[in-house]
Amino acid sequence: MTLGGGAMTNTIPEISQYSDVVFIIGSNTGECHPLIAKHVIQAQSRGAKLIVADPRMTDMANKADIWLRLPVGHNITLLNGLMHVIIKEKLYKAEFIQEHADGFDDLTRAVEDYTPAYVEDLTGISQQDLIAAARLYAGAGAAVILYCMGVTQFTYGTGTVASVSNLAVITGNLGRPGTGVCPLRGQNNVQGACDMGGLPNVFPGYLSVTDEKHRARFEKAWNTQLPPKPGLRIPEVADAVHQGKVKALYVFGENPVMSDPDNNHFIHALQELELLVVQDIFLTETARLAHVVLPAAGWAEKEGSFSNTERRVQRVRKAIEPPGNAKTDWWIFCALAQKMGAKGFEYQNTQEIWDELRQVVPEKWGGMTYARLDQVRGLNWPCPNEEHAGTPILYVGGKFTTPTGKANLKAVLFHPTGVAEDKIKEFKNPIVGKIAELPDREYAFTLTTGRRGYHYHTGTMTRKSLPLNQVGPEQMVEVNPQDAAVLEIEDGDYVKLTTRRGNIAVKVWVTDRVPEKTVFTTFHFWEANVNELTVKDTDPLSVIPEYKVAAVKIEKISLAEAKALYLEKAQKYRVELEQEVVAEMQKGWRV
Amino acid sequence: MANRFVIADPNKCIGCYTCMATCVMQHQQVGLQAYPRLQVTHTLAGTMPIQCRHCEDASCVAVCPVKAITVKNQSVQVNETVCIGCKMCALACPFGAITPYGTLPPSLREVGTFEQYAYVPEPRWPAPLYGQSGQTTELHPLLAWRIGQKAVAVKCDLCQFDEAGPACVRSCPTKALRLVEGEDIERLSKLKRSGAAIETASNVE
Amino acid sequence: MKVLTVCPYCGTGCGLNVLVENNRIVGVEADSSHPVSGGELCIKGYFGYKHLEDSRRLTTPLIKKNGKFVPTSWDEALGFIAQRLTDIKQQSGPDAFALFASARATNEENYVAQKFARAVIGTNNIDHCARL
Repeated sequence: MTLGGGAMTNTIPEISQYSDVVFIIGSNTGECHPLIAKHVIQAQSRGAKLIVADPRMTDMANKADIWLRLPVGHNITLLNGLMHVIIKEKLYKAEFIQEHADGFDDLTRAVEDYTPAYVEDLTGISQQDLIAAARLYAGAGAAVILYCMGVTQFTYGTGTVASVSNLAVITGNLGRPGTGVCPLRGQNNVQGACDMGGLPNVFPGYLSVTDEKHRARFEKAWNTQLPPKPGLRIPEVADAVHQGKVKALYVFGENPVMSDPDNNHFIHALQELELLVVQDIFLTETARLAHVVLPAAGWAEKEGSFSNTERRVQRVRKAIEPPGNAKTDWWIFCALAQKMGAKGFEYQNTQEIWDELRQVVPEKWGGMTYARLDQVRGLNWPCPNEEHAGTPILYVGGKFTTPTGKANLKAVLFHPTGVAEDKIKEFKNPIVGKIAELPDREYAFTLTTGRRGYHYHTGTMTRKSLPLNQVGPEQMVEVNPQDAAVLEIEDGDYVKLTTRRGNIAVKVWVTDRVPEKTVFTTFHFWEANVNELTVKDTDPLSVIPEYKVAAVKIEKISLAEAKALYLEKAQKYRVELEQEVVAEMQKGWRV
Repeated sequence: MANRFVIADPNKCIGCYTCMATCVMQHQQVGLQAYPRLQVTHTLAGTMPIQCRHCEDASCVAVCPVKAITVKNQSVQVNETVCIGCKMCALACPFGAITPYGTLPPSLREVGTFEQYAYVPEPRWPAPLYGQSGQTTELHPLLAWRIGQKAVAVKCDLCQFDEAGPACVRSCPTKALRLVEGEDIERLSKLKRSGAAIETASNVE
Repeated sequence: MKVLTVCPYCGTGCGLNVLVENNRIVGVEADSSHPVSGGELCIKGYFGYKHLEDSRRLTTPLIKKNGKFVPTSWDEALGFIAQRLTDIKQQSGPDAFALFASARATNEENYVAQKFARAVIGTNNIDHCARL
């Protein structure tokens, strides 16, 4: 938004080759992106410095030259504090800002209050560390920022992302090797799903559906009329179902029952649907609620391409046949479209689909033929023609893709309990943040969520792998030793976590990985899914839910009580259905 | 001859658990207990997997009542078929490198009860063994057991059955793990002595 | 047989070779010439493929009848969905339909999915789980 696009500006190998300073914020890179962490370690052994901002003692935080252990939710306080120091000490790149950015005055005023003393007051980060980090980052020849969901999953996530971009722009850390702003994508093809128009407001290639010119392009290509109104985003769908606006839902390759916040609300919505179709490789928690379930081919059972977090489009290839009558997702959609009498779905293979995309959006993918992708380990878009080598680095020479061609520095304000109205009025469209649910006397702890290295998302795939399951057999909640002593709980005890939305039973892991008064757990396990507890408040712009903060109560329970809660969850998620279906399928039923 | 052991460099370990899963697979494939023989351990001072140091005068060897643990080929090896599951070695080990673990024999493994395929997983003790519901809460986790399940001492065997050496060392993406053997320690000490000499000499007035 | 492909887990996109024997994956090898992963993989890259041959894989379309899933043919399942979607579109308009695309599926599949929602149904109600 600040810069014009929503993707990693640079590539991963640049980190180990060129970066002098790596700043990781809100990313547990070691566990969640180990092969990116490897490049950071290599950079360190070359002499690069590492700054990590994280409430948790992640493995990268442990290796950092400066670890800024901020409380959960205070990213903006910290980033504004860093910029305050950079501006005060005149460490910014005045020439770069003058030529390539708008809004520096607004930004200067916005960060004015965030003095090191004020930041220390709010976050407990020492003034010394903050100043040292600011000098280190701003003084680097090439500094890169890596961030992940620890930045975005707040009701003010857009603000934090804008702050991250602000920091990179004012220090001129864009458009050169080893610099950049790098959101690390959590899933193999999030980048691709966004690129392909799997979003309610854009066609493939991020072409807006409200723009008549863009619509005309796709109407011509697809030979049909297209709707001009942006559609609903996932968190809005549940409400639309309750209001009777949405009656049919088609889900493929996702498990929103497990992954959506405050999932009780979402499950009720699914039950009200007139038609729920789920297309997946297993009978997921979502599929169990479906009217029709379609068996899909998995990874390694189909041809195609993925786009990684660096915008690198790579070929994926078929190695084995799918089991039974399972079919690839594209075959299913084409067959269904044809059943409904639609034209334009007569593809014989994935290459034909890809070539259609290349023709419709040549400015991004025109030059990426399958033949070329077979020769190399991927090409980074944009790659407009077959002579083009792809674009590893975006915004070279400070040329941004905003309408003005300049970066928009945004004023971002934050206070945990809200920013004063007078303050907000001083700025033109500032982004303002506060925490949706703060701890109180009853719900005294801050709950934050994430992933573990050995499991993936809702565990549908990884929990079916013996080695992965043996490493991570069970849900765990991280509790600080100080808190454990006060609560009289020991490592391995079971506790009940309760928020205003639900409760789960979890085993305790007493560890320094979390700060005091903060607990951490994941959404990998249905028997103890943290998304029964999370807040469904969302960012007004991106509609990302606030997964990262909720107020929670902790009580010690016995093994028997924990088991009773597991059984309750088994009923809630209808686990017996999977057993029944497997038995049915194993009878050798074939069409 | 000096003992051999695998050790990690905490400056390189990123806590990704790849070594642990590799260990599970490697041993499962040769019919040994499918349980990780090294445990990634996170502390404020650093992260690294902890595993057997193959001590020369190993306390586990000393306490084993049936001589299931022996020193062989400069390493400490458990014969899983001789082990009676008394767990003395686990209590004696100063590194916490021995874990009692056992899978149910097939005769007792009904569909839906073995943990991997459990439709309703049971809450478990920190140790992978657990008892009938509630019963074991009073027991020390090392002594907890389950009817029909024979536990054996599980520990690092340096993948002695594999000519290519320890699988964890090969799979580590940051190459944080290494096998220390032969003259490695002497070489390292020499290097450190040079360092110390340079340091001292350059600081002499 | 060795098949060069890309890891299906996180967004790093590491290169790997799938080792295949008799239509079964028997192992995974890192791709040594990949610019990002350079001959290494992590825990999920090496062992994350195991779910593919799990006995709980769906092998046939299922339609729920009286609360129980009943195996059926592709023709019947797709016919049923096509009919219901046509009815709902006629009664409540195209925006009564929503599609959740997948950040795990390929580019080509996502392209076809959004084309289906936009061109066949006529709605922009399409989104995926980029936000988690």
